[in-house]
Amino acid sequence: MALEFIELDVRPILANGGAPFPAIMTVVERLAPGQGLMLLAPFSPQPLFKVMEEKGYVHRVSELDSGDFEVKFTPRTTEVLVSENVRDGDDWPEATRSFDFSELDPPQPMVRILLELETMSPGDVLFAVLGREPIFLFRELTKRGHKWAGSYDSDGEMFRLMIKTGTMA
Amino acid sequence: MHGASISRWTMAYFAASLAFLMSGLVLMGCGYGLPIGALGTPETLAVLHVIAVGWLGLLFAGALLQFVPVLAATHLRLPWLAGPALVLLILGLAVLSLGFTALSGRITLHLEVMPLGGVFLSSGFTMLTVSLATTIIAEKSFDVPGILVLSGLAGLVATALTGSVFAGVLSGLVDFPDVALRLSDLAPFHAASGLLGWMTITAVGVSYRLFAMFLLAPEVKGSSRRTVSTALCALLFLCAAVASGLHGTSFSAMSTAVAVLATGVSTVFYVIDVWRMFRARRRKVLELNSVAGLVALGFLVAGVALLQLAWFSGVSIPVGTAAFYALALGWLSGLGLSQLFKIVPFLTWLETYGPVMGRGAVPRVQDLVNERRARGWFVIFYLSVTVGAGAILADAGLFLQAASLCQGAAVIGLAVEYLRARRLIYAPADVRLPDGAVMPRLFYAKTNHQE
Repeated sequence: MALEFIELDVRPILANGGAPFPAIMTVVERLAPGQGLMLLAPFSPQPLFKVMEEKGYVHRVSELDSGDFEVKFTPRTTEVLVSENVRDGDDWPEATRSFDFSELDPPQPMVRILLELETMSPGDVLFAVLGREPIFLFRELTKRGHKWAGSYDSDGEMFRLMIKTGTMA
Repeated sequence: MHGASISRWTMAYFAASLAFLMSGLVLMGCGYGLPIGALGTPETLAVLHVIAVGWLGLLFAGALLQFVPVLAATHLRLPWLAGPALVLLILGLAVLSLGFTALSGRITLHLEVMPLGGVFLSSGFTMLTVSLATTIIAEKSFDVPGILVLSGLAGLVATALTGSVFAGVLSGLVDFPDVALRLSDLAPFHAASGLLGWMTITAVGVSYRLFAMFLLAPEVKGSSRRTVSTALCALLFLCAAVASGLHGTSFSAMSTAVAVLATGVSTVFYVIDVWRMFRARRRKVLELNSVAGLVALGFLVAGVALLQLAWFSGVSIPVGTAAFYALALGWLSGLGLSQLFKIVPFLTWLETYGPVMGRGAVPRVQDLVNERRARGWFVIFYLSVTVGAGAILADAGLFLQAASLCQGAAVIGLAVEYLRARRLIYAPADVRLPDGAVMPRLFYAKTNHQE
């Protein structure tokens, strides 16, 4: 799955005399694993770079023909893993179930996730926060026809996993 | 493809390794090849190799075949090498043991078989090293466990290399006067590169991840680098000591001193890290495998302390012998037996219930073991290792024999427990084999996780 950028144009906010920072942070907080932020601004937003760096994003600035700037923030250390059966352009609806399994003793997260998936409808998405990469779960998911994407969070502590239930489960 | 799968041959490695451990302990129990007095006798060398290569070597090989893909979160590269490597290793050890027995005059055999055993062993270990190192390097898994396992593999290569040269010299097939004259001086380096350079460094590397996992503790990240750097320093100076030792220079003694000291410092750093993980753990009631693993750590400290004492006091026999005994049987064997008590049920559980998980009730991992029964065997094992080490220090052969027999009994007791876990004996009857689950084979894992 190629990195997906959520686009945010703060030029109208600034033109209306508003403060863009809260809007930017709202979008950043909602970024899923494998998503970056593409920001359009009338100037290069220097103060934002440090904030975003602390949140684990690297940036690339390019000047547009109009004289405005396009800044792409990409999650830094977090390589996004996706199952082989995921195609570009796959639709990932909002997760219908979310869990924090980070405190569970392995292999309990695997048991719980497989249990939940059995009771979900095809196409539904499960989101879980785990204490580590669930390496034995991945193949079981693919074998059962589920699609998944996951990554460590920016400080590398928690693994965030999205699973889209398959039809041949 | 992401994720790791169950290693196909790991159970076969474990089974063979346990068989070698039992034979080694029974031999010592019968008074054959006791490591008391001079260690260079062919009988002692035969027993030492059965335990060091047959038990510990195969145990570590089997464990790494499963752990390296887990540590690197990937699939094992060149997995087809594992099966032939096991055959070569067993064959090599059998031939080498026959060679030692011939050397003692008990059987008549051309001594040329000894280097042949060395060649078999080296080939088997080389195949494993290639497969494991390729897996780590291809995945660029150069965090602390990855680096330590790679360093351990370097220690393995050093051990196999020196061992092969020794086998050649002992058989008279190759003529290295420098080696032949200093064989008894050089042998401790061979033992150290095996037990410390290869196995201890590997065990430390793997345990950083395993202890964090089993104690539910955050992994120590920054501070573990000092364990790595001091361990690497010890390994480098050990190699330097061997290389310069061939010429008996004073540099060799200095290098050894640095290596011994660095080993001590590295052990202290490692123990501090484990202590931190232990303090920060979220699991308050520890499982038996963790408790028994922590006891093994005590033997690491004792063994390394005895090593310092042996080197700086110059009393290599019996203090040095006791040090290696504590390291091989208390630390490495204790750690191995305790982790087998977790690994065997876990892999069995994953293999049996993974495919049906979520579709019906399945046992928990801890339902596959009986901690109460195993606890007694661990107590007997560790007590008899303590007695054995004391017997070596006190030059009391009979006590060492008795201790070895007790260890042998404990190992048989534990092996029966592993066997029961593998056969799902303790699993509650109603969920033992749900629809779609298949009883696992004893020595060979189904690779239903591989496409």
